[in-house]
Amino acid sequence: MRAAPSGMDTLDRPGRPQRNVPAYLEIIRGRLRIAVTYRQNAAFLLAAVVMQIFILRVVWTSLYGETEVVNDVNLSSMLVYLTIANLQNWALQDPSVSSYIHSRVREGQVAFDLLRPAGFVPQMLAHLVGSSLAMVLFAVAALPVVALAGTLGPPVSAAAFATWLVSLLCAYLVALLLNLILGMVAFWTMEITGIGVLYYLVNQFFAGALVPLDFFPEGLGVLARLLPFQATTYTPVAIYVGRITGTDALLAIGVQVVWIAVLVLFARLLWRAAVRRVIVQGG
Amino acid sequence: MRTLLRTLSITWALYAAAIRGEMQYRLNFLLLVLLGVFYQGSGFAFIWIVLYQFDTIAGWTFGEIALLYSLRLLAHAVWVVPFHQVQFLDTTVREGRFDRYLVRPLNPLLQVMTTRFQMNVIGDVAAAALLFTIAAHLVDLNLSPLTGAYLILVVLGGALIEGAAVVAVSSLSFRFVQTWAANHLIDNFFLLFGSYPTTIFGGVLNWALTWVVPIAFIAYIPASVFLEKTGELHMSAIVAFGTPVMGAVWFLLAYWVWHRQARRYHSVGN
Repeated sequence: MRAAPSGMDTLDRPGRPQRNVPAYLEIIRGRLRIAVTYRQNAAFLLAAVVMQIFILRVVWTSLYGETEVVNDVNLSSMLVYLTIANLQNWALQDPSVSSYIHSRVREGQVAFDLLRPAGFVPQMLAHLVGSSLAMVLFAVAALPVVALAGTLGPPVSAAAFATWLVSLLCAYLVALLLNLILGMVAFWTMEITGIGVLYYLVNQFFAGALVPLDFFPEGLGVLARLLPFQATTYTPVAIYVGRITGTDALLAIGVQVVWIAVLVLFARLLWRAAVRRVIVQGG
Repeated sequence: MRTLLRTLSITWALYAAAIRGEMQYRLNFLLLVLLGVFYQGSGFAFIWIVLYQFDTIAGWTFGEIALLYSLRLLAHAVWVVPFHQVQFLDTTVREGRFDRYLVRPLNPLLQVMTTRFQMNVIGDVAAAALLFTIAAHLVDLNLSPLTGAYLILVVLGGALIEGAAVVAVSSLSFRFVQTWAANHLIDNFFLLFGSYPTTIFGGVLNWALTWVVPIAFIAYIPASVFLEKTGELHMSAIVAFGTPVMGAVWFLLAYWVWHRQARRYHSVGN
């Protein structure tokens, strides 16, 4: 069975999109319930992040050694950067949603998702919002442990804090869109686990979670700045620790906004192509 | 002796069947191998970048850290090729497939190991071999028959140390529904703590990583032996040759735990 063209208009279904809000809230609630049920798994995954934060602290402390300032960054500000960057990078995106989309497509249940009065893409966004909400709650609960393993510190100034909040929101939108696009890949390939792992590694690296972008060697640094991943982590956290200030900060947020626009456009194009490809096995 | 040979030949036949099954999907095979290389290589990219900016970690240069890192990768590759499926024991138990293993005339652990053969492990092996070759070149390491034999023993011992942890954690599948997240944590633990000279952790942690969870024996201590840095170690030079012994002891311990936990197995069906 080919689920065209009736499913086509689900993205831009005319009328009042707000009538579906209760449905989206229900999806978000469902995601929170899943997170609570599998809280042990979340605890283990979070423990791996805390371990990584600890290792980064030890390694960077060892790298700095007696030196106090490298590349205009002192050690304590570097450690705050690494701690927040890793926690934030983990909490804002959940790989389980893209594998959920994949299993819906592979098992043909995506047909039901497409037939629902609420659009498919908003449904998936609700899944992503719900799961990241749960992960943020876990991350906040773990803050005392994170403070022990890494280094937490206040933002450098009130202005930095305000800018960080704006930039964080943009970062979240970029991460949301990237994960949505990752999920849509399921319409092209039956095997997505490999791509998911690859995304995780590439994102973590180019987002600057392990090494801030200003410590990249020249060529790699240019590449990192051309990719969208830095907008998810490096930009907000660099603002938080005072690496990017004033007009530079506004400019960086501008780049984030451009990425949001580009990714929205790309996701729309991708979705139009994806929905034409849906072939439900069996039917 | 005859039973041992028989067991080995059955195990091999099961592996061969698993590999044949996997080769059906050639493109996926290629992608997974590349993924394996990329996955292991990306961890090293971090070290490459920071040592581009700074010169040493705890007095170890880029080439020396590369050697240490490649020894860990080699050990990881050697354990992951035969044992990878043990990490998926929880699904086997949850879906009731473990019952089958109990009624067949072969050790259930061997049957779990041969369920599938995931091709990304070939990528792990390739990445490990490649990095070791590069690192050996960087530090001018020339393998004599003696150091070659030491290398083999060390890699086998390291593989047993990591394999022991995974077998022990997987055996929790007999009691808990899901253990993949615990396995993910263990994987990361070896990757994160095993890739550096453990001296950077200092004091108690350094001691624990040597004697409680002997990660230091996988790569740091053998690398010190290869690089003739044993003077820096906090132990006598002879103990530094203990990787194979540590591996054997740990693995037997883990197998004992596995065996005990397997006795608690209750089928999910009826």
